Amino acid sequence: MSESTEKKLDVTGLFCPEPVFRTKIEIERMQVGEILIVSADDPAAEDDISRWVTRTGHELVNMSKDGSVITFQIKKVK
Amino acid sequence: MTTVTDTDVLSRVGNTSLVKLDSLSHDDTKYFAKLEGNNPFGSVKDRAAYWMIKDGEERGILKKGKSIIIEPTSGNTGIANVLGYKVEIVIPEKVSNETKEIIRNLGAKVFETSDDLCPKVGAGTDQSIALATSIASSRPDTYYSPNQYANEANFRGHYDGTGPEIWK
Repeated sequence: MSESTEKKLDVTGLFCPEPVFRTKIEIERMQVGEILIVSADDPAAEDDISRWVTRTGHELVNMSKDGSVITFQIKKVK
Repeated sequence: MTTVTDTDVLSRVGNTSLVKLDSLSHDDTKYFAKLEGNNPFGSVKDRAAYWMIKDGEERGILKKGKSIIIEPTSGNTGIANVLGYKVEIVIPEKVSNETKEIIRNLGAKVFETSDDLCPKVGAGTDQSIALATSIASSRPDTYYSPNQYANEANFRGHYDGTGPEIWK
């Protein structure tokens, strides 16, 4: 059992920069330590979301691809 | 929340006063100022909003009661766009709180963009343009983005409206 609470955000079908914008809004609403699972299928999201997470000081716990869908596991750090 | 229900407001866009500036004018040249602040929402941007909405309606891509207008702006056009449609405004977060509050009080939803969102599209208003475009393009049946920065109706408003008001 993970101690962290997980939230999910589906941004498939949306184009850059909306996926990263929705991610940002969701992270802002969360508590430190919580995990956000983001699913995206815009190829640009791979760079955009992972860079945004690093730049803003959060943690990209995992990133995986299944066909065209990219799944990000992001931990809110601050 | 204030809702703009006064449709007569549209008839008050434009036809602003032209005032001669005596202190600058001389025998060879006369200077005039056009008081664009007298537009209903307080700026020249009322014209752009009015002409872009009119153009969208005439082309059948903007439907009252159905479409949501989403527009990137740094301020005044956001204020001007609230003319009888559901309006969502995408605005850089560094724009003054006063401007954002006015837009919200007119009934529009405000999305704030920051420069760290997607740096490859640029900074400031470029972020807002990119977000408004992406939201509208993935939901074409719901959203209409006039996009003042690339909409011919914006300058046509001055060519067909402001210009003749001055030379007539």
